Amino acid sequence: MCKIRSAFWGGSLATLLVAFWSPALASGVEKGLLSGNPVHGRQLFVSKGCIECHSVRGVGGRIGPDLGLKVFNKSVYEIGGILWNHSPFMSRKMAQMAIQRPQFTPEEMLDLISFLYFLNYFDPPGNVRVGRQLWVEKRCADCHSSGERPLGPPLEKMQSPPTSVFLAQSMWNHSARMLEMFRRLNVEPPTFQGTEMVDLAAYIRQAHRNPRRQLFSLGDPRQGEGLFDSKGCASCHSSSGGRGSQAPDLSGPQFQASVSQITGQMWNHLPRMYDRMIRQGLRFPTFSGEEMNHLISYLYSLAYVGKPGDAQKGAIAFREKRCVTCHGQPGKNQQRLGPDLATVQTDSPLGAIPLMWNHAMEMEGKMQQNQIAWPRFEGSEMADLQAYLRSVQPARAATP
Amino acid sequence: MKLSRRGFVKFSAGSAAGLGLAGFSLKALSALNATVAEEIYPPRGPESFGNSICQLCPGGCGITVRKVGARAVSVTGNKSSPINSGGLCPIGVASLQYLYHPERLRSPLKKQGNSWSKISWKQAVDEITSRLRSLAERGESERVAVLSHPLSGVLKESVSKLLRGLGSRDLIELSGPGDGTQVAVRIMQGVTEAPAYDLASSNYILTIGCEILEGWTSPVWDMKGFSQFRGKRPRGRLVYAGPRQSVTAAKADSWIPLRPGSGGAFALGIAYVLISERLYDFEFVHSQCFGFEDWRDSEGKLHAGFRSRVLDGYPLNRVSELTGVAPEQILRVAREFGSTRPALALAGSVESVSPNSVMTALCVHSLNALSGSIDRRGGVLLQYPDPLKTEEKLIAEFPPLMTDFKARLRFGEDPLQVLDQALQRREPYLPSALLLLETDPVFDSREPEDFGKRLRQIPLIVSISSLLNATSSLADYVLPAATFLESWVEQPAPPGVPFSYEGLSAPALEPIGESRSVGDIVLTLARALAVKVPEGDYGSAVKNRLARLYEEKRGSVAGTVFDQLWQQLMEQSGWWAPTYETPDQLLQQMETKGGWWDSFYRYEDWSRSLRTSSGKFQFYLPEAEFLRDSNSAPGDSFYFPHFESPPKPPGGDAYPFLVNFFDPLAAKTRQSALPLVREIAGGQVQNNIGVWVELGQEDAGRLGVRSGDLVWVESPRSRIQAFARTSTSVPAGLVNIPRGLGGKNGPWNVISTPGGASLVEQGKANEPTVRWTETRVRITRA
Repeated sequence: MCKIRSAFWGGSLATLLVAFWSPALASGVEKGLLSGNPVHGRQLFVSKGCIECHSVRGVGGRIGPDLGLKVFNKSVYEIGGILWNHSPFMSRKMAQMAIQRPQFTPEEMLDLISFLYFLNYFDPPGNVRVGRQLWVEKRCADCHSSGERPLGPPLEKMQSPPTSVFLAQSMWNHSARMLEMFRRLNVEPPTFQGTEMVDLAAYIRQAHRNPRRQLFSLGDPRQGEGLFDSKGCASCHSSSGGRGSQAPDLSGPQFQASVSQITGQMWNHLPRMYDRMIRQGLRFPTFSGEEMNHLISYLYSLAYVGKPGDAQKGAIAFREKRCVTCHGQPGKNQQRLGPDLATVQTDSPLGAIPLMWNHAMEMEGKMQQNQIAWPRFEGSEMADLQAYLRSVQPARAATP
Repeated sequence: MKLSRRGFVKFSAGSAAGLGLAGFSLKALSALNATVAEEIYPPRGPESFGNSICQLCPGGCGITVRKVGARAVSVTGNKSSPINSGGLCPIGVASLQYLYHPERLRSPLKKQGNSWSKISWKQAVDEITSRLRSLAERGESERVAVLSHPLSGVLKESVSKLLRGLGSRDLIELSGPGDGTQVAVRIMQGVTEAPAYDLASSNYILTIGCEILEGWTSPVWDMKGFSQFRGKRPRGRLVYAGPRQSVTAAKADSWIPLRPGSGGAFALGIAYVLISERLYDFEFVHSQCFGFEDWRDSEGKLHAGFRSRVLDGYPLNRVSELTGVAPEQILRVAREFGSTRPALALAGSVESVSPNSVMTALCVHSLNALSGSIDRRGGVLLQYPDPLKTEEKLIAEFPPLMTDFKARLRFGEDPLQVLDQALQRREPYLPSALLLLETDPVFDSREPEDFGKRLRQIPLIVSISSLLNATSSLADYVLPAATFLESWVEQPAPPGVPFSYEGLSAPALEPIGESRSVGDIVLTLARALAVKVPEGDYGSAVKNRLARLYEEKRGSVAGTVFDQLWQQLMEQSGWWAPTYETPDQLLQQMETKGGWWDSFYRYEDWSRSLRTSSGKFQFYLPEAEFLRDSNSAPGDSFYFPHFESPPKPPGGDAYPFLVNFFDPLAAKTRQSALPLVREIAGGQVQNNIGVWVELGQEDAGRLGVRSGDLVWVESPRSRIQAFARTSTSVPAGLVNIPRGLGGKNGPWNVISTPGGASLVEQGKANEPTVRWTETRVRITRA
């Protein structure tokens, strides 16, 4: 019995470790880039039955919350925490509905999480009426109208397809010319806050008349990272790969936003950037549609890992969440219900989460039996715990 | 096959419970069970599932077949089908009856005298192709005709090539109801794409005789749209204007009884209010329409526009007289319609059997322009074309045998009636051979016996059919066709859906006996005649064609509503992320899920949706010239949506009831002879009577007729026996009778009375072949 118990805890809580040190994940996660395949994750969301309880933007089940907007605009560790936290409730519901609990391989879990993370990348439904108003208020209509001598192409004659990626590209590439024009007219360039850019995009989509349709594959953060460097962004900005210090660090959560919102942020920083580039004699970078697709994807994925965990806080969490009750102090070889987590290794970076997930139902029973409350991980706690466990791991864990 | 008494009782009880829900009678059931039980039960073996695509109507619903061993035991809707999303209508449920029909053909048959003899496939193909070759040698093969339901993809390509190889262009595709509305959209918007009506997003639907809940376009697609229309907040409002309290009328918020054939006038009455109270979409009408206001042409001649003509010609008092609807009621509906956006106006199958049915559809479609519901969410959309459609014109749109068809479109006639007339007159010629692809025109015709006699004049008839039906019984050769459940199916986007779609399914079951898929039979005949057709068997040819979708770099494998949401979000952002990496993977996933689709729709794409000579929506319709005849309105008036009163029906006082013909769901299937399909409308099979007549209660009381009584319904032309159904919803002096549903067809179809269509007067030259709205009858107890 003791052996079984031991194996059980070993298999389940080891997952906590996992996550985080497989070379495969590390190459992406450690660099702060989105890993996993969101397209496959979307299929899993349906095939594993998540959609039976959860909806995305109103489509799907009504038992759990709608996951479409602002639920998973968090780091991978926080998403892992959310999945972990809702496990007991979900188990009860699934038992009531006589639905089998879905199991995930490490790769599948990675794909699912990347899908969940990806959901906030889509623009929320914009308000066309507000967008139309913004079109005038932000003075887009001054140039892009069907007057006798329009300064820019009228909306109905714009060449680019009205997709968010092309909107980002068009706005960026013609921004230098536009800034010059604003200055000549002695007008302050517009800025976009909150969902203004989303509303404006919704209006442009509706008013656009060009039937051209051009679609890209999902952007590749790694290619975006290359562009970030080659187009000179990295010389000013710091990020996971950037070295610049003249402009703000981009690795914070500011880009956990939809494509149009990221476009708005890029636009807002233009005047400052443009002036500095002029002063330094730098050439203003332009992007093809495909390039902009990769670049935005890179920016979006910067917040995927989030801030590094704090090992000291992780040690506190390990104690306060009562992990220590079953696993003992890592590396102390204390005989407890579960294995010493300093000795547990997995092959997959995010393997912790699927293992936790796959054994959660059994774990829930055991924890109930031992009157241990289900530990919840909020905010950075999961990342902190991981940092702590990594700090007590042997050498292999320390070097991904 | 053994069936224990206990097993049979269990089966019967289960069936009775299930079918009872559909309004079945036990008496009818016991007759059916005796045959079905032998064929299906007891199934043995492991449970498995396979997908297919229903072909019993043009709807194209994906279905999932549950099998036990080699037997199909149930069918349900395929959840991954974007057409029906897991739903299935009663017609689809009847596909098992089709599969296990007692008259399924298991081997090729050859007519010898009055009997059939079984022959091998080789003999059948050799003899048929030899006779076709002889025709070619005598220079008669250009009169070989093919009769089928609308074809697409590899099958259409193969049949077209076969005919072209013989020098013929006579591919006659029997289209379904609703074509009048298609012609209207075509004329007013200058497009060839099928219209798709966005019921789900609309907030107000005015149907003028359109049965949206009884097999209108694609039945489950329509029902899904209707359910979303009703399910949203605020709830969509439905108003039905038509002579009969149909299922759609019963589900409507308001039913407005309308004089038969007066739908066009009613629509123009609504237009009168919209225009006079300026409730129309000013911006759309003035920027995207032509012919609304008066205008001067290049020679300076002043033309009165639609506005002037409606205001002059259709004041509410006049419209009230024409339609029998009170002016206040027209005013109320018009104000509701005009003040709700988006709003849809629909003309449908009932109106399509009226004289001037295309003109009626034009009047109704005008309302869509007035409310700005053209190519907008909640309005009239256009189906995106088949991405793989060949550019080459394979065959004539109006085949030589059907040259009269275009001219007769004004009467809303279906091709079968026009073909019947061509055979009757032997003009332009009598076909030298007729190849029937899974069609039963004799059963579907108005006068089966006469039509059958005319068919018998054709020297060679080859029927490719799964059943020995009324038409195949007349053939020289019958080639046993596998049903769609036993064949590869390639399904284009059905009518009514706006997106591109290519359905694909592998055979869910092994074919019964020696039956083969229609596609394989056509390919075999073509190759035997040395006609070059797609390589491989039919399944390979279909897959080779569909593999080209991979090159489209858009769309996705068929999926659920959630998949559609994903695709739309991706598209909006500018991405396309397929689940497949190779053409083979695409095909494999299509087979598993049921097809491919591209849910993309660009609204207000005027370059696609308004392709008239003016580039605008036309109220002025010079393209409608082909509808004109000697009785038409003079001058310019004809070129605008207008109403012409039908001539007075013959018969006078001796025939006191005007007949309103309607199409029940059963009449809209390709296998309307299936008992389950026929019983949908109410128990008839058990009493050998196919039709019923709906009478007002007062009229019924006066005649001493009660519901369920047998009555004679007599017109100046003929008489039929029918069941009486009395109702308070039928106005005095009117009776409702279903079109079709008569005719005898095999042991499962014991109906022995002719259908209601035989009552109808035959038209003269320049008149409708069948004067549907001009029939009067008298009724007596049988």
